[in-house]
This record gives sequence, structure tokens and C-alpha cells, in this order.
Amino acid sequence: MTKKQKILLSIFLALFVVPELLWSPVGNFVYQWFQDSNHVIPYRDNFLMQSNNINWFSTIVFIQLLGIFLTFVYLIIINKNIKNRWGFWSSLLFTFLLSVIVFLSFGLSISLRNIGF
Amino acid sequence: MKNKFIFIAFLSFAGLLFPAYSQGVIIAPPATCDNFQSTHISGTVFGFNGQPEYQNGFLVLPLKFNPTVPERNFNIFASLLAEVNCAYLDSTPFQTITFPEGVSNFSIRFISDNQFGIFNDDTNQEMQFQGLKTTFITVSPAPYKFNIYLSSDYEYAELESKAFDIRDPNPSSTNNPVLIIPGIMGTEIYKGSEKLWPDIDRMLTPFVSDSFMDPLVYKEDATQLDTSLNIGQVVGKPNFLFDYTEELTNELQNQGYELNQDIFTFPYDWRKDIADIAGNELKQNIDDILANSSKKKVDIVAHSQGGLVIKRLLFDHPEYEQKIDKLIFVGTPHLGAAKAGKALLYGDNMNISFGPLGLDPQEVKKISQNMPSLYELLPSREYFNHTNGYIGQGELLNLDVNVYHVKTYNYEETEQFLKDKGLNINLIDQAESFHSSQYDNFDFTDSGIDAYNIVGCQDATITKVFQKQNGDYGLSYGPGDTTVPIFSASNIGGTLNLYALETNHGTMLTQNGTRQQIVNLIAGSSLSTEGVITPYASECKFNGQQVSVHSPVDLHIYDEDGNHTGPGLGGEIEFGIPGVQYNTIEHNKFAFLPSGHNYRISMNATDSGSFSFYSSIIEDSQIVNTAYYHEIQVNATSLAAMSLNEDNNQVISLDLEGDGMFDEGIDPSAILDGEASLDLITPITQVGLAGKQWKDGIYKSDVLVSLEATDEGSGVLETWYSLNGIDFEQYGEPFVLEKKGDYTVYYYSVDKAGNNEEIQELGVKIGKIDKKFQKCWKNNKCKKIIKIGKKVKLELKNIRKHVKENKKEIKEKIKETIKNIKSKIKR
Repeated sequence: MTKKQKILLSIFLALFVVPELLWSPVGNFVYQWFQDSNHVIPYRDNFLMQSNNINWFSTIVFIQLLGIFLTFVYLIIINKNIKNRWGFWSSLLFTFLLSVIVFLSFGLSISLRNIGF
Repeated sequence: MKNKFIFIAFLSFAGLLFPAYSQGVIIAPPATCDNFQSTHISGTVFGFNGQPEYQNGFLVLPLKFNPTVPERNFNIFASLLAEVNCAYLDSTPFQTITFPEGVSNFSIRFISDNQFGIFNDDTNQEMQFQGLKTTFITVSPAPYKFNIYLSSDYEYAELESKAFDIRDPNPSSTNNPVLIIPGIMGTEIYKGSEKLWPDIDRMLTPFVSDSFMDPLVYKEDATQLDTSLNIGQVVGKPNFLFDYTEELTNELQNQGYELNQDIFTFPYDWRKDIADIAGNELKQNIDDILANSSKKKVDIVAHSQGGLVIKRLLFDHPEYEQKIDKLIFVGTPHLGAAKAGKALLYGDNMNISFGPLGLDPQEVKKISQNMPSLYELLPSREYFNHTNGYIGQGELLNLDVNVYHVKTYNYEETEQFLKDKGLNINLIDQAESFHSSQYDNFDFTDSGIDAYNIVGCQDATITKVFQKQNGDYGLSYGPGDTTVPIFSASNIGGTLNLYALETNHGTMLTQNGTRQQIVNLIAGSSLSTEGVITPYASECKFNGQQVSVHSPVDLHIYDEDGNHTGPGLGGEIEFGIPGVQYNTIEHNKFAFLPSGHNYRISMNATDSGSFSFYSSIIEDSQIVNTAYYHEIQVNATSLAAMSLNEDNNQVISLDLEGDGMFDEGIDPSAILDGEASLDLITPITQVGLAGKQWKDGIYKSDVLVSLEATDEGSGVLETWYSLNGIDFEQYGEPFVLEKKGDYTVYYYSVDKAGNNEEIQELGVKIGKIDKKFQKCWKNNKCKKIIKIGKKVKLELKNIRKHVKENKKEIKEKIKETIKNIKSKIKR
């Protein structure tokens, strides 16, 4: 990989990783979704886990979605420059799976924001 | 390279896992103050005069001097300790205080978290510290635990080698118990250990039918189908996208309330008859709470249907007014809500929808068909005094062009309509007697209860549902909390009404603004509700634009930031634009767009046919104008787009072939003012036939047919006709029937508000042609005859009129004339 490619890949990846390090929106989302409870407990509580801040949550997860999806696409674009094929395919698979998870988090947060009886 | 990829993968996983480590570091096992030991030695200068207690939530230490102590001047200082581990934080500076001679009883009283004073209990007066202007000492930072020392020349004494909580650790002693009564669907229901409601995860799981909720169904006699069901907890926060009560209980706890000690919830079977719930479970629940409390009254927070339940208890058992101190209604449909009618007739998905997944509206419809409570949420008779009805039926005018006249039903017609639709007749009647006039107009003025009513007032709420004869629907929006219209929620006497400017009915208990307002009313706190709550109804502004499209196109809305509301990739409804309401009933799509944004509308055809589009500007809850686009022809690949503007005269750009090139711009067929926008009166078309008839009414000449339409509201848009029901054509000028035979002329008109007249028909028979007349008719000579005839008719009319008006004079004149004639003849 050239230096430019490395920088771009780092930026894309950072779009996902930095919010995750700060607030873990996707980790929290997945963690809570699988709790069968009347009072779900976040994996790491912070302001994004309050239902009043759903707009912030959606915005940040959208940025993460953009980051992980661009990482995935960029890996495909520069795949010939990556000599380690095992590393390439495993990264591609990993980013793809993560993209799906982040997409679901984003989609559900957008679709269910007006839920109410 | 391999290492770098491993590093990147590690970094990504670390993003997910890091919080677990960090949380582990942050949380330390809580220490207690039991191990706290003072380094000072207790003296004998003073001691406790009874047990430490809490007044108004704060510490009071009653103390007593040792009578043998000669000193009355003391230096006082306090040790301030951290809550968690009793670590030393700070101490107050020494302050000198002089007790009058003879004082034996005194107390140290905290008046807030960080202020305390000394009281002379013999005279019940505050003591003045030397050199201080105030009678209390302020400590900083705010301590959590407290230990106090007195020193004098005589002795240096510590009260006790033990720290005291400054705040009451058991604040129930100062607070009334608070009971939260949830609304419909606000309580979990289980079958054994299987959760039936609300299992949102299961509703969204692919390949799992929503029929797992079938045991919730009631039988036709309004009894449970499955009697083995059991009630769980009041819904808290089943996932972090939906918080029903948890944040409210957290907020109350922040004000010193304790869960299950002075915060209680009332789980109940929300399917049952409201009067039954009120008279049995709720009554018992309040009695149980008071039996286990030192307090004589409870405070109640009632959401939605919960408000009807508590109101019913007070209506049927007025003695319970003595057991309630404060009562807060939150989004209560005092007169019912049109949405209940929608759920019963067409189902509702409660916005639990993601692509093809989510809550099936038909399952909700199935569950609710014999559910007594939902019938009692239907708009009552009193509701109709505030609006002209909430349900209607369209009368089909023309199948070819798919046009209707919508009629809104009055109360009796609505009841009949619901019964005709197969809803439970007994439950409709039961709901009518439930909503008696006295109950609907309940007044708290002389009840002795501090009653408050939080009303959502400027979010789009369904106020009307129309069904057209071919199965299409119409919706109207008005101001409310997204479910309950403002006039229904505010129809209660003797309460202080507070208006919430931002609401989502389902989460009103926990939303920013309403949550703090509830807690302020209950706990006397002063949390900020700025910008959300107002006591003035005049501050509620229901402004925006209502758009609707009627088959066969999808409706997409985008704001200036590119946010989207409308069908998503998988067909789910995305709610990407805050405040935008979006409803669909089969092929009809409706949206309310709050003002303050620039909206772009995109419409994708899903089939060939024609669609109508309405755009209404709403200011201060009133429609000020409506742009109506009449029957735009599309095929299955067509696209249409438009940018809404303030003048509401936007042009629809139509890409007929869907090739990315816009083929034409379509102006509104009509722009109606506010009054005409509300026009529901159909136009009336009159037909004129000109020709010569035989005595039996059969024509013996060609017949000229002319159509003339009038409309009282918005004015006539167009008139259509068909001969013998074949192909309707738009009427432009009179047409001639010239061959012998039987004709049926079908005709109707459409007004500019889209109201369609019922199709009228008129039979015309042309028999044996009168050749003489036909000749004159064809040569246009008859015109002269008709003209002369008309003149004669007019003259005769004038004469008749004159005679009528001057009968007496004419009679006398005639008599006189006759006399004259007679006399002339004699002569």
C-alpha cells in the first residue's frame, strides 16, 4: 500500500473506531438488543443510550456506517496492492459483517424512533 | 503487512471491547462509613437528646448540654466526608457561638445539602454565629456525610465517632407515595414464561409470525380467550429506542424518591373494561400502598388510558378523593381518540416496523376486536361537539376516474357504521354508557385534589379517518400529541392545563420537558422545562403542510439536510425527519410536515393509472389554502418530484417514462382558500334538453343536451358525461342526440376541492321524427320561433305580475270601463 492509501484507510476506519471508543453505540445496540428484559442495561452507559437522544445516536451511527462501508469499498479498490491475501480476505469479511451490523443499527434507530402505544 | 492487518482488526475489536475494560476500572466496590473512625476523643460536654432525625429530607441532630458544664462559648466545626468511602473532604472553619445561660437543649439542623444552622430548642430560635451575618454555615464542596465537634476551654468534644447522612437515606418520610398508572398496552402480559406483550424483538424477527400474540384475543362476549395469561411489570425500557417509564422513575429517584418505597407502578390488564380495572385492581392497589405507608394520600401520574382509569375510580367512588393529593394526567384521551377507531377498523403497527418486519397491523386489529378498553377509547358523543366527526365514507362517483364524495358521520351514523363494519355491538353500546356526559365533563374543582393535565398541543394527530367505497382512505390531521387531539386531552375541569410543545404520545412520561414537569409537580423541584412546557394554549402553534397522495405512487419526503421520511429500501417507513408524521392506509399516503424546513417531495409510480395530490398549508391549526392536483396520469415507471413552497403553488415535474428526463410540469388544478379547502359539498349538475316532443314525452326531433354545474364551496373544476355508460368525456359544450333510439346520459361534476358529485343519469327517447319541425330545427329557423315565443312568454309574465300587484285598481278600472261602455250603449 502507498502512504496515501494507508492514510485514507486509517481515516475511514477512524470514522468507525473513534465513536466506538468514545461511546460504543454499535456495541451497546447489539448488546441491548439481545437482552430479554423490561429494563435493558447498556454495555457502557452514556448519553447516547437515552431514548431522548435518539437523533444523536442515529447521526453518530450514520457516520460509523459511512466509515466502515468506505473501508470495505476501499479495501476492494486497493486489493491488488495488498500482498497478504489472508489478511485482505479476512479484513474484507470482517468489514462486511460489521457494515451489516452497523446498517441494522442505523436502520432500526431510524425506523423505530416513533415507536409508541 | 500481516501484522498491520492484525493490528487493524484488533483496533476495531478494541473499539467494541474497550468499554468493558474501562467500566471495570471505574466501578469500585462501594465502601460504607461503618469503618470510619475519628481520631478525636468523645467528651462529656454534650450528648444526644433523642435520636437523629430528618426534617424536610435533611439531617437534624437534637442535642443537650451537660448541666455541669460551666462554659457557654463554643467553637464549632464540622468534618465533611465523601459519600462513597467516607474519605475526609474538608472541614468548616471554626465558628464561635455563645449560648445564653440556662440553655440546655439545642439542635444542629441542615436546611440543604451544604448549609446548616444551630437552633436553640428551648426558645426554638436560630443562633447567631459570631462575626457572621447569617445564621447558617455554608460548606463547600457539598458533603454527603457529616460529623461535628464542639470545643471550649473546658473540653474538646466530638459528638460521636460516627458519620451521619446529611440527606435522608429513607426519604419516604417526607414524600407521598407516587403511583404511576400506565396507558393501554403499557403492561407486560405473559403466557407462562412466554412474553406476549411487548416482545419487540420477536415482532421484528424474520419468519416469526405475529400470531404468537393470538392468546391476547378476547371472545365476542368480552371475556378472555385464554384465561391462563398473567400480568407482568409496567413496561420500562425494553430497548433503548423506547423508554416508557424508566427515565421518569430515575428522575424521581434523583429527587430522593425510592423505588418500591415511595415510587410504585400499577400493572394491570389493559384489555379489560376500564370501570372494572378502576373499581377493583386500582382501588385495591391504592389501599395497599396507603396501608404500608405513614402517609394518608398518594400522588398519581396517569398516562393515556391510565387517566381514564383513575378518573373512573373517582367518578364511581368519590370517597377516594380523600386519598389523592396530586393527580397528573399525561396525554389522557378524556373524550377518546380517532386512532382507536383506526386500530379497530384497519389495525395499527404502533410504528414498530422495519422493512417487511415489525408488528402486523392486522394482528393488532385481531387482538382489539373484542377488547372492551379499546372501545372505551373511541371518540365519545362529547367529542362530536368539538369536531364534526372522525369517521366518514366516500361515495363512489365514477369508477373510471376514481372520484368520491366524502361524508363525515355524526355520532349516531358513526355508531351505525362501526356496527355495520362488524365491530362488537355490545361493546359499542357499553362504551357509550361508559362515556356519560357527567364522566366526560368531570370537574376537579371541589375535589380537594391538586389536579394537573399535561396536553400535547402542536404535533400532528389523526383527527379523522375516511373510507371510500372502493376501499381507499383519507386522513385528516389536527393538533395534539400524535395520538390524542388537543381538544380531547384538555377536556377536563378544575385542573391546571400545561401544554407540551414537543410530544410523542407513547413516550410522554419520559420525554425531555414532560418528564421534568411531572417531577416538578410531584417533588416540588425546579428542573428546566423551558421551550417544551407552557401554561398558555396560545403558544401552541400547529403550523405546517399536510400532503397526501392517492394511488398508485409512493410518497417520499426529504428535508434540506437530505433526511428522509417515507418507504425505505425494504419497504419499511423511515422516520428520518423529526416531527414529520407519516401514515398509510393501504394505497393512500398521508404526511404532516411541520414548518421550519424546506421540503422536497418525490413520488415513484408503482403501477399505471392516475393519482391525485393534495397540499394544504396549515397555520395556527387552520388550513389557509390547499393546492389540488387532479388525476395525474402515470405509468408504472413514472417519477414525479416537487419542492414545496410557502405560496403552495408548486409545480409537479413529471417524468412519465422514468428515463430521468422530466416531460412536463403540472400546475395545481386548483388553489383553494381556507374556507374552500374545507369544502365537502359536492357540486350539482343540471341538464337541459332542447327539442320537440310528442305528447308522451318522446322526442320527435334532434335533442340538444347542455350541462350546467354549480358549486357552493370551491367552485366547479370539471364536468364529465357519458352516453349509455361508454367512455366518460370531459364536457365542454352542448352536444346533440340526433338518431332515433333510447339514450341514457350519465353526468357528474368535480369541484376544486376534489369533491365529486354522484353520477346522475337521464333517459332520453327519440321516436318518430317530425320532419317539418326537424327541417326548421336543422335550418336553425326554429330559433326565431323560440325567440318570439320567449318574448310572448315574458310579456305574459309581466302582465300577470302587474295584474297580481294591482288587482283592486284594475278591477275598479274594469268596472268603471264596463259602466261607461254600458252607458254609451244605452245612449
